[in-house]
Amino acid sequence: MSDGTIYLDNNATTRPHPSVVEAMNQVLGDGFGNPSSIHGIGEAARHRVEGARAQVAGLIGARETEIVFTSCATESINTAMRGVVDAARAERSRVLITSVEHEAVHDVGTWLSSRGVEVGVLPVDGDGVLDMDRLDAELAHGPVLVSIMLANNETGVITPVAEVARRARDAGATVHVDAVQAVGKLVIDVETLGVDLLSLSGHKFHAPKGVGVLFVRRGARSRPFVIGAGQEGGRRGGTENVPGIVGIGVAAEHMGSGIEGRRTHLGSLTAAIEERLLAISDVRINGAREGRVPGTVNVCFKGIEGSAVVLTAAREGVCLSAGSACAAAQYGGSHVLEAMGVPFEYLHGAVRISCCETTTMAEVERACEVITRSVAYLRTMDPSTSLGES
Amino acid sequence: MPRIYLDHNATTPLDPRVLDAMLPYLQSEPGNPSSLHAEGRAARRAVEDAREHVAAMLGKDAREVVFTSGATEANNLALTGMVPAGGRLAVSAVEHPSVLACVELLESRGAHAVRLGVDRDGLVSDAELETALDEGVDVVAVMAANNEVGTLQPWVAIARQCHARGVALHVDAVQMPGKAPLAVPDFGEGTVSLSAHKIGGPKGVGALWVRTDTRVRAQIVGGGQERQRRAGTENVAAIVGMGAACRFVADEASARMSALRLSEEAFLAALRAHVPDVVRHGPRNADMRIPGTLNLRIPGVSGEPLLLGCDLEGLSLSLGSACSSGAVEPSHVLLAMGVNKVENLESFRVSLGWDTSPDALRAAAGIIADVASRNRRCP
Repeated sequence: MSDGTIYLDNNATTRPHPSVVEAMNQVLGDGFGNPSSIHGIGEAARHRVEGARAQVAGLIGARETEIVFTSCATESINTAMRGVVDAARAERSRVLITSVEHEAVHDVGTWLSSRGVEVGVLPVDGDGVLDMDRLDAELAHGPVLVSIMLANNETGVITPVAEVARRARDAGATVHVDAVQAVGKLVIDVETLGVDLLSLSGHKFHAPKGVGVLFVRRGARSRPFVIGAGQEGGRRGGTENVPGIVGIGVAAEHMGSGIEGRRTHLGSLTAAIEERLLAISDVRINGAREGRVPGTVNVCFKGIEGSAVVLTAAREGVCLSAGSACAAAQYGGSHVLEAMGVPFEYLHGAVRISCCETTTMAEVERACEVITRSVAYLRTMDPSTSLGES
Repeated sequence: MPRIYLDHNATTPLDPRVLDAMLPYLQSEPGNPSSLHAEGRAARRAVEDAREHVAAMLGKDAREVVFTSGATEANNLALTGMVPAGGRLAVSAVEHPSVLACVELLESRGAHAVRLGVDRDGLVSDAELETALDEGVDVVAVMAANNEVGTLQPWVAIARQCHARGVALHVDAVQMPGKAPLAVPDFGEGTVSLSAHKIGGPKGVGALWVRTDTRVRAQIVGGGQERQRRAGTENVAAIVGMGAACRFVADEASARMSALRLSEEAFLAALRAHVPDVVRHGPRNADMRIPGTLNLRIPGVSGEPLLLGCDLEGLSLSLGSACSSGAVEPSHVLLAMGVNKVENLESFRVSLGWDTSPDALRAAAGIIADVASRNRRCP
């Protein structure tokens, strides 16, 4: 950052890529048309939206007609889950999610269960890895929908989506995947994954806030959610957020290229962070050592509050997170870490460090110094440390 | 000659001052308003400042403003959020398609909806509204100003009627800001929807004003943002843009209204000089419409070729409303006003901006006249 701030909260939100800002700036300046207007100015806007649709389709190996633009991943997730259940119109629907899904999936699950839908929650093991035997057992009950995430936002743990999707579709279920945290870190191909619906968020991969994507496989049983004047082929009403859509198109193209190089860079940052933080006493890195997306490190320090580390680090210009941003405003431990069985004395000490492609080794080294100092300081201050050991 | 854009009811160019306000949040401030660190807190403050500006424009409390991705979502939230299962609602026949789509969805789920007819001017029938209220409804939806013809509904009186009966009211006020006084009257329960891109703000953001104590069930769930009323990471830059746009509208409302009134008169005079038989739909009385929206018809000239011809000459107009222009179908608004199908398909909309120049207005009138004369069917 220009002011010396070290931003390591990229799983919460990312800074738009300069090429994204430039493209959006142009649209904000002179590309103001309404894509539904039939005059030239409207047509130019529609052309830009369709260009972005091709770019996003390219990122995930989809057809352009299978891409629906939304206002954010939360809306995509609402649309996907409620749309599938609505379209199934079963007397008693059953939906399957996992215990480590994003809050949005959990909240839609709660919403669905308040309307009589049975929601099964699959457990994970101590590494955050899905229990495939339980999956098979639950699939035997014939869910209409299975919703799983590709990479966990708190820990980076990767779900074997292709395998889950294969089993789920064999069992007759429609499969939705929350791929928000995987863009640019994993190759996402909807054919290889074999999923029916897939959600993306622009602002998690250097596009702006206010735009998301829902991939809907041709022929998938779903329904629109936000309805209006028939935009997005009748699948999402509302005047298109043209600058945001242009931005997510440019970002998709950028993130779809150079994945290997990005992975290598993020991998070396991850290794450096882990090495430095594991030197602190009473520490644990959460989530499988292998099988995580590179760039996300979730660490717990025994006996202290993660949010205290985040706040002291913030004073030194290092932006971190205590778990997910969405949960930061609330109190209580992370549902993801709880699901992984992280011991109580560690549970509240979670700190998430999430890097992006422009994060430098010097930045993570400095951040680790700040964290180390902060943890040492808090441990001298906090009486609960000694209580925890008694 | 630069292009002339007279389709402001479809969308407006972004006010450069609004863009200036947004840019820092697009370029260098990556904060998620839910994050605890300084970047997150700065984003949170920007969102809350914008909320104050939107509320101030309405003369209401900031806590009552919910940001959405646009007016369509705000209309979805209001209607699907307020109408109870199997509930009853009354809506005007001239609502925006996003409102009517929600009504149809609610009907498919067991709600009962009454369509309130309008008169030749597009004004909602008071008798039909009274009957609906007498028969008992849960929610009434009447737009403040119509996007196609500009008719201004007596929404202050309607709000009073609904309030007196304890009925919730939803008002789509998308076309109002900067064109008519926008102080929201005392409501009982109710909501008002707004769009940024119709008032010089960016696309991708809108707002729903929700009067305190009104029960609106969240539609997009999952994250608790917007006080549990609308989940999803806030679209910070666009929200900042909407706040700025509302602030400028509030500051400049009377100047914009008089500019629009003068422009409208100048444009109509210029057009009538070329095309004396041009017909205008909607109220004759200027107090019953917003200035700047002209729904016109030139007898013997079909709307679509006229619009396409003008487009080739560098003038952007619209048929009816932009959202329905994918297919040329008669406007539901004009149909409800009793305009027959032939006249309906001859209609086109000219919607001015408060900053449209006199030269542009004169040139536009000339282009319309030329294209019309080429396309006029022999009688």
